[in-house]
Amino acid sequence: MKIKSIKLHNFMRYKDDNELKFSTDPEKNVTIILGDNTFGKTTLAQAFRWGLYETFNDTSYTKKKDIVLLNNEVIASMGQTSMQSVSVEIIVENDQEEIKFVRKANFKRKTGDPDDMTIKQIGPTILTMQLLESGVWGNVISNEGDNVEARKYKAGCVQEAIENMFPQNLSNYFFFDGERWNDLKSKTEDIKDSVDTILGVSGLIEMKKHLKDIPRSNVTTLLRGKLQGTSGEYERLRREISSLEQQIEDNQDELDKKRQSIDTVQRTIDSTEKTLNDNRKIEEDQKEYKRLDADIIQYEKIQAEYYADIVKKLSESARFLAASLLPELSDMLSKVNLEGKDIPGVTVDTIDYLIEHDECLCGTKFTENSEAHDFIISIRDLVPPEMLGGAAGKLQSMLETWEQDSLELKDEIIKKANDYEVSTSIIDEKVRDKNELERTMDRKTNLGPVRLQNKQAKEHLRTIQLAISRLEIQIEQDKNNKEQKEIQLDNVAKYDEDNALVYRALAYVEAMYDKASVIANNRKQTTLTDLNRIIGENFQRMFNDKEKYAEIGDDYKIHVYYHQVGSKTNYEEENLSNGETIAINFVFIVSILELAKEYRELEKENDEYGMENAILGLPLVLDGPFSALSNENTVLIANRLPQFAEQVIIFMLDKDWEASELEKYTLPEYCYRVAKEPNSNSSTIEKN
Amino acid sequence: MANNELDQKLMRDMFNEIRSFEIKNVKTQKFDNKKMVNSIMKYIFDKVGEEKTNENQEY
Amino acid sequence: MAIKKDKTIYEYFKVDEMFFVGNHRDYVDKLWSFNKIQESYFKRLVDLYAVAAIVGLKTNRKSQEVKDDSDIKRTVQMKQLNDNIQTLLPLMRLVLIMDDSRGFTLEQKLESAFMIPEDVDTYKANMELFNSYARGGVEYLYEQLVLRTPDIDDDYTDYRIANMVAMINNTLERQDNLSI
Repeated sequence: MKIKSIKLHNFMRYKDDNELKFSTDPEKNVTIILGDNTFGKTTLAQAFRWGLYETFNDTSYTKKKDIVLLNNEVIASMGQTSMQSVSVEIIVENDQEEIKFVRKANFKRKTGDPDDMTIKQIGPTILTMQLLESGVWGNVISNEGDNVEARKYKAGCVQEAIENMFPQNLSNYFFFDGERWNDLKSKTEDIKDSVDTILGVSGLIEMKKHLKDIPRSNVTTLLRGKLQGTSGEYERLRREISSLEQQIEDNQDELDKKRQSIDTVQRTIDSTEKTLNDNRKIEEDQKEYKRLDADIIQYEKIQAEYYADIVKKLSESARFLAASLLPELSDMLSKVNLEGKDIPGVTVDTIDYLIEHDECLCGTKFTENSEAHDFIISIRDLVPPEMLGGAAGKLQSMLETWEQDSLELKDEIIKKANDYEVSTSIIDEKVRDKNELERTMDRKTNLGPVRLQNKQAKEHLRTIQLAISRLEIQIEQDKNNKEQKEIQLDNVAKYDEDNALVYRALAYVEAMYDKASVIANNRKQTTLTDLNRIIGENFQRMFNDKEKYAEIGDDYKIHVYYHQVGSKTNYEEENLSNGETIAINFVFIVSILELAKEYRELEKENDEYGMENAILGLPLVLDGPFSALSNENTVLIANRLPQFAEQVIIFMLDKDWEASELEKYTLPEYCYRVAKEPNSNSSTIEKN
Repeated sequence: MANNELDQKLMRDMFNEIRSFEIKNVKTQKFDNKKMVNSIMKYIFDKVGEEKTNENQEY
Repeated sequence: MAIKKDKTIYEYFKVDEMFFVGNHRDYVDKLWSFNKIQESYFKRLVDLYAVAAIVGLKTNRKSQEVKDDSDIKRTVQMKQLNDNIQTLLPLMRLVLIMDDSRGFTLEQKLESAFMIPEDVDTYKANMELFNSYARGGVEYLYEQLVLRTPDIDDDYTDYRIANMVAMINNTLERQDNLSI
């Protein structure tokens, strides 16, 4: 991707038209714009930003909210009703295609007062693009959406084209602004996505999307729509699958919306947390606060254990309670002579013995049907069986055992209850202290509302997350259900010959989808490791510092570490100087470009699936990148740039130009100077 | 279909063709998702149809 | 003595599981949640069952099973019954000895307590007696542990703990002097 030219019309200090053409030579790909500070180099960088993204950075001179787009001389010359426009036109060359982007805004004077120089924009900013076809610029396509040559362009298409060529999330890197690099704090996911775009994964992801991932409108679904079948069963399954697809799509949309809203809420949480935590005035208080929190959690755990202990004891209390019936039981049992009916020592066995010997103790014979015989039998029935006495005795002694064993149960329960009570008061006290501390901190720093906002946002986040899990589960279920039904459908449809072609196509789609997944995953896995290797090397090149090293983390941000500080190893350097930070970010973008070049080579070598133009080639537009570096480092890095970037466009001071030794990469016609007339407010661009 | 295995070369050709198509579209945004899906589907279906015709001709 | 007439032996807590239905099920749910000791008063359902039975006996409180429209029941499972028979069987004997509602003499009560039930009817009647005390006990436990609002005298801020301690104390003091 190369930038061919940029043309400014009345843009800030550049009155009328000013055009810069950039070198697209493959080897001598550097374009230089020289000029002293305050002459307008930074403005040119702003022009790129505004042209591509309609954004600005704060500069050393002006805050972005105070920036006036329209050239002052033009404003001064405007009558009350006249309208003037500002525009930036950027022509880009991408493989064989050329695309012209134009962003334009119209202005009028705000009031009738001739001394009042304020202006206001009339209407929205207009963004358009044109494609060069056969040497002629095609129809203008508006970002609002257009029907051009029977093709439907959706709203935002121009901005999306820009985004795909120059991802805004990485714009701070390839539009390297030496002075204001830190404005946009990109989120890890965004940086990752942009790196994926540069390294060629996006095409694969789009492919997967179209083949299968987009709910309902994907190649797989369309092909399945071609299947034929005549039975009612078939039709029913079709309908059910279709309605499941609709449901999946709807839920997926809902899910995406919810996920997006998480970003907003998370941002609120993060920023309020930062405010709450970063306040030096209350650092000690915050430490105490955290301690109290930890204590409370600890005590709540202990408290729960006490409760559990009480429940366990209560669960064992049946024996304890039964044992309390012992007095009553003993009383009852004592009323019954369990040994015998008034005959001490006489049991059933005794009587059986007498009957067997046919003779009573007193000598009376037990002849059949005799009175004595009947009497002894009746006594036998009246004398309780030995086992009854024994069993009752056993029950009694069991209760006595239970009583012994559970003597302490009641006391144990009370003890645990007291322990619980004590821990409750400890917890209450700590909670009180915590709340008091909160109020103190808020008083010191007026953080009350922030804290409330933080709490509410966290609650909101929980709610959203719950909804998200529910949706995810539902979508998963529906997908499984759909798969089941499709299998059923296939069982019916496979027998129809016409369907054979469709099934074959589906098989190819599946194979291609899997292939795309494999390649994309491989690429993603190696990216971080490879990037780290290159960053490590480049860091050393630039800093030549044996004490430190740089690594990119899972957050896709570069961290600088000391090998050793005192007794600590791998200690992160968190306070980098301005110059160091600029250099670090510079290392990042150079390393990405270097990696991109490596991957391009790999793609070339891959006969089967290699695709060179999957890798995004980026130009580098650098505004004063070397201003904070020493001359030695300047040379070291400057020399690498032309090798990895498709194109290098640098704004710098004369002294840096000499130090950089970039002359050998620059054609003379691509060396410019920004000049300012002594009597004029406006600047012009001239050949050097 | 006599041969149930996929033709790897055909798969590869289609894959690369579609991927190129995607890469181009990522940059130019000419086609929206719907159009992309339709184009790709038609392309694959036609190619598979060709494959069958060629196979029939072999017999 | 008597020859066993049928082959089937009716042993308590080895033949049938115990079900809580209707409002007793609701009370059980308030007293015990499976695997959630922090939300329960008892560790296992069989524990609740045993304590309820003895508490029902001590407070002389029985209750009939009343089914409701739903089929939902809480089951004291066979394994739990078997594993806890060392506690449950003596409790059954206590019930059979101390229960006055059958109009038995003391000797009859003792006999019923220590003999293996001769037939299915006896078995069923005795199980029902035990279970009706268990249900009554569940009602009592529900009143004392869940519904009761602690007195001023109670020493504990957590009402569940206050109620558990109070119940342990009360059921010791009040024997079966409640009714009659």
